[in-house]
Amino acid sequence: MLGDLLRRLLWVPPLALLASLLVFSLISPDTSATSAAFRHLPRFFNGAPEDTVALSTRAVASLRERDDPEAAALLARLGGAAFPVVLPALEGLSPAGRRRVALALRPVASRMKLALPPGELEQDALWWRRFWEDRSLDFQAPTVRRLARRYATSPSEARRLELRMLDTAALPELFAVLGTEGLPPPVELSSALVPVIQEVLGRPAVPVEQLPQEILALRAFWFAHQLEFSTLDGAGRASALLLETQYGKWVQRTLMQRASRAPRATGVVTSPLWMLARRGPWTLARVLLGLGLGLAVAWALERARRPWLHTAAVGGALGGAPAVLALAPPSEGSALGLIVLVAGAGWVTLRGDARESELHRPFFRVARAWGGAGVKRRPWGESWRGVVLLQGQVVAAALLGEWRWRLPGLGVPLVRALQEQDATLLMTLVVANLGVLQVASVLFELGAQAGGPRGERR
Amino acid sequence: MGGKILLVALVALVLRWAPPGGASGVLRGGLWFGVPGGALGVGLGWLVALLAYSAGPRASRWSLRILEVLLAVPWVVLVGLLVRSIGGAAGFVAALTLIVAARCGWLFLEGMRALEAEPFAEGARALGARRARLFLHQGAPWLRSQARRFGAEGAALAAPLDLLLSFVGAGSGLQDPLARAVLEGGGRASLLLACAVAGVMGAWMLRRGAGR
Repeated sequence: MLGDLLRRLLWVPPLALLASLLVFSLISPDTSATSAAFRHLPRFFNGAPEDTVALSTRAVASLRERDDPEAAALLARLGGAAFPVVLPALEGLSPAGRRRVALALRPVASRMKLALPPGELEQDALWWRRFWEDRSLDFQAPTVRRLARRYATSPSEARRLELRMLDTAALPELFAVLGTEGLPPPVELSSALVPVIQEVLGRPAVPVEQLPQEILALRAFWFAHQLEFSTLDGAGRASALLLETQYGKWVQRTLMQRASRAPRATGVVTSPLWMLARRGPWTLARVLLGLGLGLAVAWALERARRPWLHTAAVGGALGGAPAVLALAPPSEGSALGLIVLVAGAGWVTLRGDARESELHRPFFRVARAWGGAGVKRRPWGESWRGVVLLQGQVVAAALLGEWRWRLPGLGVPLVRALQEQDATLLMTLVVANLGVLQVASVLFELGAQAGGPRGERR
Repeated sequence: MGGKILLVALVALVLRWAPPGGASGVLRGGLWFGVPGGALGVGLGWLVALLAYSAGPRASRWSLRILEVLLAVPWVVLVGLLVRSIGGAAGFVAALTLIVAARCGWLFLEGMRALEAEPFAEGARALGARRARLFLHQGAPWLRSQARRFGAEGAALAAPLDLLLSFVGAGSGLQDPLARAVLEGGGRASLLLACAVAGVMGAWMLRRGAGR
């Protein structure tokens, strides 16, 4: 028994993965709010993850051949992070190619507050070559890391100017210091780091009291676009095949990110696991109570021994549930009434099926032939197992009732997530429901074995 | 025979003269969505169960677990996602088909698991009967009755489910005018008529499906 329970529980993680893949594949990529930031990524497998090196190489190759506004815009966005690839490549370009690349780098120079020499674009290319000869060592990862940490420890105008000279090449280390999850860093650190990042990304400055929300927004940006400003090594490239996808981003955000809460003043809660922990017990309690009360109703109808009551119960639930949802006043009683109506009809059907199935089973006929007139029929055994089927309509009734009457629970956020096609909460809910269902089905199966029919010989 | 003619005439009248939404929407939902969804779902569930059971005990257990994954997706989520990604009516039929197929397939596989313990099944297996033959013949009467019941359940579920989901904007769109009217404070008579139609139609279908 315990072995069976453990075996079933060990199945939960792979089944949860399967459930999440199923739901994620159903979510439309064009309208999903969750995947809006990752729409540029493949859904499940990224055969060629593009880091800074790949993106800048592609852009330079395009500008080598022709005028390409998209490639130019890409180079401008990549900025200083692409310098290790772009600036050394200037040597090997044709004069026309050099001019196109130099033109693309002008917004970067403006962002870095660099004074390019006036005149032909060919002069720009020469200037950039000399810039790289003088400053290439500053763009190496250990140097950038050291500068970012020193700035975080003791911010100064000189170090801030040095960071600005690195442009987007400093972003990985700046975000490493700022942190990509958990509570925002102290105000002193945030107010030093955030303006530098905002300047690099071209975002407007915000007042100090809005720093927590701005940090959340910056973290969301970095989570979606980190790879554009980073370089993948061997192991990173292998993991990027799965992680640099829309599905991979969801997994990372849901499972690995801790509750990102802004200070109490803002009350911003973004973690779906946190929402599930806070609101899930309400829904679970209603479902369990509804199942119990519905079972009591079905038992009472069974005792009445009026077959037409069963039909009336099913018809009443089918017609009554929409009427209750639409017309009943907002209260816990209305929600519970809706769940009991649906659960009761479900139990009536299940137990009716179980009774009929048992009557036709050979062991009853054999037992009666042996003289076991006192065979105890226990349709409870079969109907326990059917709770796996019953939970579908009962959970639907609970969620709809919570949404309709604005009760605490998962109904309101779930419907909002459906309307916005927010994958995160939807899949978290599905996976949680699967886990509860697996545990419940094992327990109910044990109940079915214990509650099965027994024959007595006379 | 007279009753059936009267019923068909009544249905035709309601569909022809009733305003969109309300009772006519419920009837349309039940007939156009429920019957295809229920039938397709039963067929798909039966086919999945036959293939899984025939492939052996391990495949049967695996299939049960996969069907439980599908059953774990809340109906609101499944219908809402498919309606958004495929389109109103087709998405709703697809969702209904999946719901009925998952329930059907799960119950068929669970039922065969229980039937395997019966003496006739043990005897048949000892005589060399293949699992597929056992599924098709030994479980046939029981499976046929369950298939009828599930097909009817799918048809019966369609209209009230669509009506319920229209309140959250996740239905097929057929009941949206009714839901909007009720949420804005009107259309109660139409809603009650629609619910009465759903209840009578659903109960009738289930009784017919169960063979009672």
